Amino acid sequence: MRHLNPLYVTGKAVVPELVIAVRLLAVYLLLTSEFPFNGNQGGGRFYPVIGFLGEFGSDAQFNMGVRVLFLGGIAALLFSRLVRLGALGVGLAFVTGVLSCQICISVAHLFTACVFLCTALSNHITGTGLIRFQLAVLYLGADLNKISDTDWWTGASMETLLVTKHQLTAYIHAAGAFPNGFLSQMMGIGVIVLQMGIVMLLLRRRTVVYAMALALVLHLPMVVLMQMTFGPFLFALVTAYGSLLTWPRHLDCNAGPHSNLLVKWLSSLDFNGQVGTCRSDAKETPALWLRTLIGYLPHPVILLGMTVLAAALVRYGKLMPLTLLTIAAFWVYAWPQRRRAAQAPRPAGL
Amino acid sequence: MMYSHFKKWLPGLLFLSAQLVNTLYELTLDTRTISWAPHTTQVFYRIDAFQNGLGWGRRAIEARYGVAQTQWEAHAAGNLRRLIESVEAVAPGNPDSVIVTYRRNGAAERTYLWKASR
Repeated sequence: MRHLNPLYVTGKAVVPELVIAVRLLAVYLLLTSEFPFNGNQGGGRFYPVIGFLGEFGSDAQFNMGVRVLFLGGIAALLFSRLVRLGALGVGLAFVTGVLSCQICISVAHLFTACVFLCTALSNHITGTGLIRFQLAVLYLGADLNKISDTDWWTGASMETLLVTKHQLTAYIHAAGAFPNGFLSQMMGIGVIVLQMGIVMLLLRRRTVVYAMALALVLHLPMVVLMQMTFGPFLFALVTAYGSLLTWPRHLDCNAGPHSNLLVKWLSSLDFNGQVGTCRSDAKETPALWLRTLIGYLPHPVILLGMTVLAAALVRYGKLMPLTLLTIAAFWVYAWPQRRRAAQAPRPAGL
Repeated sequence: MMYSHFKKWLPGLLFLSAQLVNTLYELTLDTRTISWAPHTTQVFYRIDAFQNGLGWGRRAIEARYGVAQTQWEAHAAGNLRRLIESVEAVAPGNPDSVIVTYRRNGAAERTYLWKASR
């Protein structure tokens, strides 16, 4: 019965890091209405890329089938021990959505699907290795497309993207300080080098935190300048990268002063034996609450709260606070783990 | 021991390898579908359809092809060609001709012409 509790993340066929990642991603998808055939995923089946997808039932029946697969998958991964089966359903629903609708082709949704599918193919031997390699394949694929395109070397692609398409005033001003086309050319080549650097860093587990830092440099300026999160892509990236950090099985409350009030509340919502009992003599203040929240960041309830906050910021278009929150989370949680990542238990057999 | 570990890794590694092979394959095509090519190409296009010498209205074009008459395509110019060909191969009531004029990454304008074979 405890598997009905979505906050119980251990005791599954995959490691807790992946359970947390796909559950948070599923909640985010529900909150932001990022379903297959919804929003920029079009209205339903529309001249499938693969012919046989056009042969199943009427459009209404097909679309309903994909939605049922998606929602059924989310229910399974949230409220049962069948996390892999649920992830398989959600992943297949997104892939089917992309392949059955020519105008819905979206790398953002495809990557989201791959996070779920890699979880479905993972186990305790692979750990989070498949997600790490999936990220490497994503950047390698994107980089190969750029390397083979002359426009990325000449700067024509960046010039069109930033000046003609998005008309970014700040970029246009900055480009004016250089010879014509120089900044776009350097940006294009810079992105190629940056993406290849991320691939190299992702190939070694001990350097994933540095890959995260480069990923922030690559993605967050795009979010701020273009004012878009590319559908579920940004959050899928955050959960994928986040899963590569070791989720602490026990939270040490003796590391410093903490709020007894908050720790007591978190203990009452601890279904994984993560929070130990301890007392602090520190006075309850907002600063102490913030310190406690940061200290207990890996607690599933706090991660869920961060997910709801991120969804709200996206829904109301507050992308600058979202960017700052992402940087802050990286700074206080991921960056200190850069040495610990080297010592983190590797998936068996890797 | 080694064999059982290999079996656990195999499905995932095959899945990731298939993505890499597909990415390399799609590099040889003018379309991008499940290749990892987000915003790699910026194509500004306009679709015009003609019947008996008269151009179709914007709404008719957008209803038939499911995309804006004039817009950015962020994957590949070939995706527009494939869309027009798919629609005209299946949907009844096709126009006599469809012209897609487009500029890829600000380069000189190019056109793609579809003509009804009747």
